[in-house]
Amino acid sequence: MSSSIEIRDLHVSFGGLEVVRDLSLSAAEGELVSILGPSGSGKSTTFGVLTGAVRATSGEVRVGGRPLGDRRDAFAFMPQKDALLPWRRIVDNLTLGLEVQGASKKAAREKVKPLIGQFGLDGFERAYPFQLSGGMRQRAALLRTVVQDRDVLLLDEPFGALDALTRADMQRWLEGMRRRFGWTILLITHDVREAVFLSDRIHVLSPRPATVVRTVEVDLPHPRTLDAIADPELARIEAELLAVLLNTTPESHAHAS
Amino acid sequence: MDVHTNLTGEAGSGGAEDPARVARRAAAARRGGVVRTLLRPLPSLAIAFVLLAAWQIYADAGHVGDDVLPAPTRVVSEGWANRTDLWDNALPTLRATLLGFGVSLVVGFLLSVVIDASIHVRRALLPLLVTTQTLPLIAIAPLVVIWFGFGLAPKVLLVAFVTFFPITVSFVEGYAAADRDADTLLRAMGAGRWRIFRTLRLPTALLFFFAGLRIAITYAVVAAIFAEYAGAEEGLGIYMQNAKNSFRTDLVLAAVAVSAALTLALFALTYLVERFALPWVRLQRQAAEGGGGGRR
Repeated sequence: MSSSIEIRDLHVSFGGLEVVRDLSLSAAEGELVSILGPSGSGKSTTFGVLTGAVRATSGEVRVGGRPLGDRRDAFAFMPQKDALLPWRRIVDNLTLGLEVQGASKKAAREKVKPLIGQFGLDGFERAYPFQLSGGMRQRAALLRTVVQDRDVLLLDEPFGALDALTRADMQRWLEGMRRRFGWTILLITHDVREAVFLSDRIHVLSPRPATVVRTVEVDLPHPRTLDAIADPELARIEAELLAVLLNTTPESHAHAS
Repeated sequence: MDVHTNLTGEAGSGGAEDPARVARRAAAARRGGVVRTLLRPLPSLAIAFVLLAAWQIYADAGHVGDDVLPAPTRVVSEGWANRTDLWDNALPTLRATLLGFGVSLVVGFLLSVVIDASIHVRRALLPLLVTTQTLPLIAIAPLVVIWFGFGLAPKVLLVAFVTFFPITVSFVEGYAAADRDADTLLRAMGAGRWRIFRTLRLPTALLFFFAGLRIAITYAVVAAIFAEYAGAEEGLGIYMQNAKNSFRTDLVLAAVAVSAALTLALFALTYLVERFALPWVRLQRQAAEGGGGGRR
């Protein structure tokens, strides 16, 4: 089901405020591409265009080589907070997207069932979200996302709310899972190390209006393990990204002048 | 403590918590919950007992006559002696209360849906609804009886009139409290308005609804009695009025006690309904209360 995605010359303005300018980026089928940028730089707005929440002023989006047009079923979105519904048991949260698509409860459960173990949620189908740890909730949110069988996964800072250890754990887990399933993923993050560890390519955005100021290919073999963190190439990329990010924030300009 | 549990819970293989342990914790919280539930009303009962004792002592001292301030024991014994009359009059009151409250639930909910559907409707309706709550019941009740007679209709109307507002408001506030991230998520999934309403907004509102329900139900019995006071063939309201006119203060107070008992029973019933309607709320509350001791 995974497809490539290409965004070309995207413009978004709210009234007179230009939020996204000339933004272009792409991910081939099965790639994980990160969008890295300072807060408020229009990363989430870009996702909003893809999910249909925000209207682009101009630009083109292609999925699998074809223009997106009015298609609303190309993307599966995972927000930063897990947004699990507290009154639904885990299994009913997992099937939410399928139910919205019109699947029967039974069919949806059948589809989710074989994945529950792989996402480390065995035995928790009947639990309520508050009974799960932060990492488990995040995995449940991701399972709810991928089971929708969309072309591209949009992950908006999926591990941003987790503590450092859990986050590192989840990053390694995601690295393994996406290789196994071949997902195409756009990942929004402001964690440089996370971006480098997980991505095939990283687009660095400028502060508003957002545009891509640097694209970095991360040419490290998969699956990446803890050893990868010690790789000098990874450290070099991290330093490069940090330099770009810190030079493009308004504060640093103020200090420099 | 939270940091500690996070680390130990997460450091393992992806942080899988043992489901059996979660279940045990829930069971322990349940047991603790029963004891707590039984102990909870003790302080209130103690205070009530002290007040009744003071009343009893004052009444027994004989400064005032029985027809002015009967002792609690007299209220109980006379009430018991007249239990058939009281029961026969409590039933119509209860019927009016429940019917009126049923109407109130339906109307209150439908109003909330209409208000939620459009900002224009909201602007047009809300001031009118607030205004209905400013009308003095003492003047309205007799008018309603004049318009609709001595039967069941005016009671049902008055109960609904008095109780629909907290229900509507709690629903409307509940809709507005729906999680924005979940709303964005559902939209991204392709959900339409109606789907979002029943999947997200209505379940969120149920939490608020039970708070509104408890406020509303405490007015319901009183409203029914008020309506009967204004004119009725049977019911606690007319019973109180007749008892008062024949200087049977003790029976007035006995009827008051019955009406209070009715309200308390209905109030308790809301908790029972909530338990079945929102099982996760109780579990979450228990986990929060029992979390400290139950975790180890």
